[in-house]
Amino acid sequence: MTSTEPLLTARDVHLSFGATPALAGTSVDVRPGEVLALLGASGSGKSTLLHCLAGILRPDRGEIRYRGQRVDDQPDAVRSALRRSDFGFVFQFGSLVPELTALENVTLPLQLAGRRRRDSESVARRWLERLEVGDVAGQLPGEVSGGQAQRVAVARALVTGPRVVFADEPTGALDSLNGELVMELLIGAAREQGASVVLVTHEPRVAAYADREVVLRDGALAVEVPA
Amino acid sequence: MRTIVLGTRLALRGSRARVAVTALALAFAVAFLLAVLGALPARQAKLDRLAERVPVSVGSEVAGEQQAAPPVLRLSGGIFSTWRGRTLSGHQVVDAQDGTILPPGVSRLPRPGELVVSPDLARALAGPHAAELTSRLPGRVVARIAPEGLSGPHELYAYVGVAKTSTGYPADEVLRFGHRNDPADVSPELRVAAQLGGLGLLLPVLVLVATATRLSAGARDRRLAAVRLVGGTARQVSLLAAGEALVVGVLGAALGALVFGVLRPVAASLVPVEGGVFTADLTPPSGQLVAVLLAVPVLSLLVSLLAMRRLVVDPLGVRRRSRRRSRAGWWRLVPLAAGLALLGWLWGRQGDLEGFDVGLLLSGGALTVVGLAVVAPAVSRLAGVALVQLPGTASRLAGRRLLADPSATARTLTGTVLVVFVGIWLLAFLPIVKVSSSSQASDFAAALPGSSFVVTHGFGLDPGVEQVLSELPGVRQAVTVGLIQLARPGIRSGDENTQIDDLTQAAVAPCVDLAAAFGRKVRCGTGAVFTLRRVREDVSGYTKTPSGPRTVLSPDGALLGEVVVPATATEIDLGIDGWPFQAGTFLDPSVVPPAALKAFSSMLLVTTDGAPATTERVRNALFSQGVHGAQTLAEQLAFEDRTVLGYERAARLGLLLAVLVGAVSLLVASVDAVRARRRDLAALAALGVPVGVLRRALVLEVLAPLVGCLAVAVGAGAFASAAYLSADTYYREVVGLPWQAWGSATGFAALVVLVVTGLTLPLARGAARPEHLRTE
Repeated sequence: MTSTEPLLTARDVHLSFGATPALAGTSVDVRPGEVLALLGASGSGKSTLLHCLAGILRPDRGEIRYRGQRVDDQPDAVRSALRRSDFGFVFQFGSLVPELTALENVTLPLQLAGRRRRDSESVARRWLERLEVGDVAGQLPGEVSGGQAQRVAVARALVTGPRVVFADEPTGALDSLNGELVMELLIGAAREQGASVVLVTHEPRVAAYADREVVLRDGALAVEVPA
Repeated sequence: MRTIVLGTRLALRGSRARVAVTALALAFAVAFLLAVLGALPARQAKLDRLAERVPVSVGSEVAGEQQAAPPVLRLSGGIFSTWRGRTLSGHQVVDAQDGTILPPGVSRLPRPGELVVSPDLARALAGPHAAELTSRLPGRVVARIAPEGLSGPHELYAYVGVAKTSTGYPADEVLRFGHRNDPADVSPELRVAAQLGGLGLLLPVLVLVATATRLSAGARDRRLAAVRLVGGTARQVSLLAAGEALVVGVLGAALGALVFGVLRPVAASLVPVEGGVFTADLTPPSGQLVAVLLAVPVLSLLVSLLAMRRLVVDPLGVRRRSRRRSRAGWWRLVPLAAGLALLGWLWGRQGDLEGFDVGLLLSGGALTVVGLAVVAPAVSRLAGVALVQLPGTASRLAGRRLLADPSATARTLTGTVLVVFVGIWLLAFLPIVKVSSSSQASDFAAALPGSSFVVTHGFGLDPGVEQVLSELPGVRQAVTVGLIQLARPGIRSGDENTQIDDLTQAAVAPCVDLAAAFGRKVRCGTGAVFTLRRVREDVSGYTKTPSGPRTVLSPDGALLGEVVVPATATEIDLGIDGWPFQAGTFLDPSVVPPAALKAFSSMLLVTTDGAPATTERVRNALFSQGVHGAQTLAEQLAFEDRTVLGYERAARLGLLLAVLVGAVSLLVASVDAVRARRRDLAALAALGVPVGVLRRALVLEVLAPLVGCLAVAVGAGAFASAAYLSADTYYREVVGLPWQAWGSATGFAALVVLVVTGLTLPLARGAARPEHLRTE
């Protein structure tokens, strides 16, 4: 499933928030089609590393490369375009716009990319159906269950056909049954599309879906565990 | 453009409540702005309407010596009377002929015994008090005057058909109607007061708009961050926000125009001018109307784009561009201190305020307003420091909350605080305006009841009128006071080189009757010459009549008789020494030659039981004597101070409106604050904090900074007022600072804030429910 050339690379990444170091020389590769789990205790820097890999945060030192090109020194517009076209996101909280319906949430990245509304809605509906939440297309995130909301978030993450999906504690707010359902749908759909998944979790049950596990401690790579 | 459209759709779909409230606030501002822009045209329209019905007659200065085209319209000089406190005016139409020119709004002329009247007067003539009018307006109503012939919808105006005039003056032959007036001049005090009033009203409206735009800011930030997460660029996010602003701007402008259109009749009815203002006249010029309706969405768009430049929206959230969170530091005192320093410049300045001083005054006021808004978080923080020192969970929670975010509560109070400051300043101006237009009637009003008539008549009244009036039901006393001129023997009026006391005035009336009219117990004795005891020593005007023989001269200088003013005349106290008693001498009619009483003007004092019906009976009796404009003292004062009263009413109404608008801002902000803190409140409740404690904490959170902010606003307002007053010695001595009015205004504002806070308390129970612990 995986190839040897990394799709996404972090090299010697340092990042501090004020006087508090979050990442201290972390390096990691994400290969095409690979599911990589970032594990670690609370405050170990796993979410920060994910944000750096996704071009959301800029490291103070070190570099992030995507398909061989540096992205951390690119302007915001380039990194935004990358997030729009090549990346998808599923977070524990806050990834859906609460005032928009499920369909409108999934449509949003397509419309931001300039696709017509009708086309966008057609594609979005297919993804919602595929993730078994087609029946809540017209409902607001607050009106659906947590599991349904996360599946909508997965649909939104995958609707643009991304090469990498970043998932930060995607099952953190779900019970085990719903958590498993969301993970199966996410990983299944991502593999089907050939997309890599970078997964932040502290649950072994979720990490079990990964091809490879990386454990962080105090902002640095502690252990790498091949699947 | 596509992104703006997407933003527009997102705004309409995603944040309806926010868009609706912001658009409503903007609509209110637009409606208010349109009403303000329409006020001046309304005033001008009223002047134009009055000017357009002025008859231009043969021989008048304007028309020259032209001849009126036959058949000639003949009008009396005018009817000027009063009915139940309202001005009643019009013209007598003498022996109307067919085919003459018609006054504006009149479809046919009244023939003798007929009336053409305004709608309000027609209602009055058909109402229960019609009998009070019939002797002044004899005849039956045959037509109504259309709006184009009236200055306002509630004007009492009449064209009375008569065979000959009853005014004693010949009728004028009318050439045409329409005489352009020069615009009325507004005094500097009124202009400053009006500017302050406008500022006072506009401020809370702007605060309301600002409050509304912050509504659900957290939700908007989450939405924008989510858009960034899925790849929206910073520019796209700005354009999305601009789309929302555009929706709000367009909706606000359209709704504002609609609200203005719907409420225009109400606004017109509130304009404090006698006779009212026609709704159609309260219309902004079309250019200004279009400018406002276009400018609001454009400004809304630009303000949104500018505001977005201060925000950093990234996929993880929204933050301000400033490096550090703003603290409630001492620098916040600087704008307030600078504003007060500018106002202090005026302190002790003598003489009238020139343009530079007015500019200084307004700049100082504007800077103080900004300063009050800037200093509010510092006051809020101090309140937090004080609260955490107190025992009890509620005060500690409130104190910590204020210390954590002093600006949040300060923002909700800003509208009310600014209204109090401007209101206090405005309240200090009104007495100045009042004093600057004091009337002669006020001299009498101090000694006679307001329902009394004091009528001066140039030709001398029919001696029988006193008897007629005395016999009217409800009349207590009717006394004629003659006003004659006394001269030092040998002096003729018109002589050159006369000394100041060579010619003096004296009043002529029976002492007993005069004392009864003024309600004074006076020992008149048997003397015939009296002097008045001074009430005040500083009365300016006529010189006291010297003792010794004085001659009575007619206005044309003829010798009419002689009077001896004794050195020790009986001194009596009528409680008045203003006009016409400044000379301090009055005589019994028995010692004055009868010819003198006929030669000079006389004055009639009539005291009544104060009933409106009695007032109208007296007026009717005087009308039959050719005295058309008789008014009670209270009416005279009201009419002379009409402008002042109008401004007072406008100021009170404006302040009330401003406080209410401030209250709406506070309510919107308070409800939003409780909603935004649902999770925090739910967490506290889950920890076992009783809802009562949460409610007390919410009240203290508002009350503590409110007290501090109001104290600063009242202090600044008092300083600003005192600085202005100190610029004029007369105002400083006569007017003084209106502490009572200030106290009432501040108390009212504080009460409104407390009521609004009380209204939000029931929300605390709902907000503290455990389910709010669930974030999404």
